[in-house]
Amino acid sequence: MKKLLSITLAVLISICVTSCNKNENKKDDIKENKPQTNVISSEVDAIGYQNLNELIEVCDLVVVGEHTTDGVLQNEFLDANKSPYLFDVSESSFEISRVIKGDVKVGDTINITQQYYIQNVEGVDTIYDSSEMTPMKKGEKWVYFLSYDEINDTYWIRNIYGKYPVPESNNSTADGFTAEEMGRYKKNNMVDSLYNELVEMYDWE
Amino acid sequence: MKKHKLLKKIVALLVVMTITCNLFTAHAHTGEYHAGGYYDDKQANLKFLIMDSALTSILTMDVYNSATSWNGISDNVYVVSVVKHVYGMPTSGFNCVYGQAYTDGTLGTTTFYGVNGNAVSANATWNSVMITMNSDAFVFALAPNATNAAKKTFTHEVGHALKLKHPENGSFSGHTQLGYPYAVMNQGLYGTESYLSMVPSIHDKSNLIDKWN
Repeated sequence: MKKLLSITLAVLISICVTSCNKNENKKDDIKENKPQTNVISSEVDAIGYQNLNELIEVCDLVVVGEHTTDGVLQNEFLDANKSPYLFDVSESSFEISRVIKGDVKVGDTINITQQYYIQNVEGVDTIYDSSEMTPMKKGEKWVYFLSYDEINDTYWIRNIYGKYPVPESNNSTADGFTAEEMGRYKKNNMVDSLYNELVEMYDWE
Repeated sequence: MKKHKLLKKIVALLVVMTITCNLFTAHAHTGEYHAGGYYDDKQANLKFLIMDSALTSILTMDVYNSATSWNGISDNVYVVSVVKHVYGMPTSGFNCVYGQAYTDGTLGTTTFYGVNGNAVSANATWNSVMITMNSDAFVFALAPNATNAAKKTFTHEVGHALKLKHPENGSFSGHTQLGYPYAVMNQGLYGTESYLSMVPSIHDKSNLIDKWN
């Protein structure tokens, strides 16, 4: 009887310990993913897409390529007279290496705009973000789903559904990436599902 | 015999403790709201000032008055007024609402500001919020009913002003539709997905009460 009791106790304690460790592991993951800079995020409500075709249909341009500059603070405007002033965003040059949709060719460079800007506040780089996506950096390769803004002559990323890492192989899936590697601050199952569809649909060789 | 009964009781108690511990872990997602308060207060009495840029053929005062759908849920939350801005009117004490023509599918945004006027994180104590609504009529016109879609977006943004987050996606209790609960705090254009509510749902109300009592 004592033996049985000891075994039961051991099993229950190990289940308790494992269960509590789950939370600890989650905390460690969050710590590892924490960016070096300070991020102040706005809350964003945006149109969602259930599948890749739905997303491609609303975009002017779907391209693969590389940023040739870091994102730089820009003022965007509401109308062609440059008035009224709209808001602060960041813009980066992007060289196209593959065209999935749109009237551009390989080797073209376009301007891409994302809703964030960086300011140095008391010695700390602070990202003011309204996009829920990580900043645009020189040398980074991405697949972008974009909409053209004629007034500001730039392409806007189609919110959180519009930015994906270039898959290394056909086996890459969203599960294998952290949120930051996926170009976002938070994990999002719906976006991950679109990325998996993207990997399956296109030959990346 | 008595010893045997006592041992049984101890084992039963441990089983209950284990189940409770696991249940707690599984439901850790229920924190669908941010920390922090309003002016260090436990109440949120909000006044909204609708700026000219936020008024369009679709974004009317009727749309903005939908903010009052958050009233009557918690004794500590009250949308006091929704006022149209007129020239010369001071903005202090108000949460300002602006229009911006987004071309990237954004419907609206909410940014938190501290007492010193600087943008702060959503988890911080805040003094005011700035809401932006997409003033491009085309975006709401994609919905079956543009006015209802605009009402959902503004109610959603006011929900953020009350510290509510987007519900998590996954196999959680009550998340019955593609992993989402039926809620106004879900992201998306009202009328395009079954899990999008136009007004605060039971799920939203429950989170609001959890946050504000």
